Amino acid sequence: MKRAFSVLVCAAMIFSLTACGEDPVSDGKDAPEGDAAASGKLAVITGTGGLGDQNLNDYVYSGVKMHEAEGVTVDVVQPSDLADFPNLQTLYAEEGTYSTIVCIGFDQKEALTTVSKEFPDQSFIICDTECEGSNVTSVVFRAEETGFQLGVLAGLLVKEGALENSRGNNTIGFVGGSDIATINQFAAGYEAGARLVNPDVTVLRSYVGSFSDPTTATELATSLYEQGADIVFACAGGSGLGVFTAAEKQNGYALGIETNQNALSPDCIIASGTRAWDEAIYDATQKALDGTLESGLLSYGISDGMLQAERADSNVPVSDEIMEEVAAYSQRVADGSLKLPTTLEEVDSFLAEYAE
Amino acid sequence: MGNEQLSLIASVLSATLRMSVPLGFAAIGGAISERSGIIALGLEGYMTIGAFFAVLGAYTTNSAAFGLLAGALAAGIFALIYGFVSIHLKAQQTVSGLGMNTIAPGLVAILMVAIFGNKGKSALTPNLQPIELPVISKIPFLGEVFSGHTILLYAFLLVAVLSWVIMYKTPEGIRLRSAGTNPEVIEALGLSVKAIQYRAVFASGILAGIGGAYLSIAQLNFYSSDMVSGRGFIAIAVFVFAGWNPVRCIWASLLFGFTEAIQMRLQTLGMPSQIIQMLPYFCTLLVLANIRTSRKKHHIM
Repeated sequence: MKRAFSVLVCAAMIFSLTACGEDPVSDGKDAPEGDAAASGKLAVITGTGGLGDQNLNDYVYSGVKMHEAEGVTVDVVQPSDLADFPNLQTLYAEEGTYSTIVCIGFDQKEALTTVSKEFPDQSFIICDTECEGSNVTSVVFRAEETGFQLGVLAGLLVKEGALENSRGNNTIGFVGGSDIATINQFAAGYEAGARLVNPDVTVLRSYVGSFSDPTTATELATSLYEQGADIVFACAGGSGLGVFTAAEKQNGYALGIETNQNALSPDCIIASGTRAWDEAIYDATQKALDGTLESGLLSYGISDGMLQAERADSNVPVSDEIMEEVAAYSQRVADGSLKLPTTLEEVDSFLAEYAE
Repeated sequence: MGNEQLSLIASVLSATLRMSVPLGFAAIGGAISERSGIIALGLEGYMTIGAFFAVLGAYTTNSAAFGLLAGALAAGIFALIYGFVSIHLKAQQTVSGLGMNTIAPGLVAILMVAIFGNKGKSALTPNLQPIELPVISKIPFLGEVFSGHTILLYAFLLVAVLSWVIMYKTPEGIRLRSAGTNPEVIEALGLSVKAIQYRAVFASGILAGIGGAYLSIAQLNFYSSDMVSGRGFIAIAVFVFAGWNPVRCIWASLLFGFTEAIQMRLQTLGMPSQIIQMLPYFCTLLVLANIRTSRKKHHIM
């Protein structure tokens, strides 16, 4: 009895660990080998959040899936744990039939650094982080540009007192997932944008220390609102959802990121800094299918028309003049006449150079 | 002291209360389980189950109160699985306790995909509303600190005192404590140690489940994956610090809640966030180290 039960418990645990993964080599076994280009196959390894997250994973996958209409086979696997990454990357790479393997999310970087060396002839794409490797292409958006668009918008809104529930302190806030370079790239653009259009604005910043702790994020945002912030930029992945809850409770405003999050809290979210992952990944995987994909950094931004301060679905009124001004500043970034800072340290020198 | 500083202090204290509730509930649950002689390492798992089923209950019935009930019951039943393994089958408690923390997120992930179509975030649900206390809410400073919380804060204080009374002032409490320290006495009285332990484990699941439900349907109004974020482990530190005493669990969880609340305020002052975020954990270490030395002294005496 005892033994049978322990077997059962073990089985349950294994099941729970692997339940959401799919067989990564489900339909690749019978394919003839060595004709990667002709068969046109692409593989996707999602982040641990999996498909259905209405965020990065779904977004990237939909971009790759667009190739299916052209007769390309797309295989996808959804790891449930960080430890699965190296195994799944290896499994796909051993197949040897994929034009490229798309790895979603910065937490696959470590695994990919090792695995990509073992398969020098296999091309890999990693999204949202930079990864070394002669066969790895890093697809990223220029985070500071998204931060800048939202920073300009927030700076203008608090300067002109255009918001109904403004506390009148000329203050905005930023809640980051973690105090790391990628997140601070957003923060740098945000602060640069806000202070460029509104030199006296105070920008408060705090970090959750986790991308999956909305409870802490909700407290952090509450404390920012209590310190006088009118608008808080939720730049914290899954934790960011807690910022919107705080905005509703405190009658504050928020900014979303990645996909259009406005509908999550239409009376509080003014805009979302959307990044067209589907277009970027479609473009990058197309290059892989054509055999023209080069390793190294492939970065997209405002100049590619892929970054927007998306307003659809938001009920917060913003004047057309302000949106036009945001567009005008974005245009200056696109044509290269504004060189944005990528670290918080560079914000002051950026302002010294461009402030009017 | 200016008005501004006063309201800053009030907001820190108010946040302290909010942060301490989930820790406190789970810690009292843990204390009860430990008293009966069953190690409570699965609190993180119970909280996860509680947080998810509270959302599921609130989502299906459209009532936060039913959600709370569902979360508490589900976590209680989940804890009974651990009870069965460790009491009935006499499995190694450390291993099976930690196992509960692994099974819970896996189970929830499956249910999330089945019900909400993704692992990341559930649909929005009704949540527990803050209560304005009749007289106190009118008093300037006190109102800001003590009023405007959900019912669970007040329930937490009540549960802590009640648990203390039951544990130390009733026959049931004496049996509970004897089951942990002198099980042979219970046997001699013709009572079942196992029955007492099952009840204790069930209670620990219910209380930790309420702690989890607080995160999902009081602080927020949705479930998102891994949202318990180690609070179940901090709760272990809380009940150890409190010496398995429910009333002391109030002070201990307030202390931990306070370090969380203060680190959030300190961050915006421009201090390095990594160092400030260590504060709660550093405090945990200090507290536990202090306990060890003071217990040693006690033994020598």
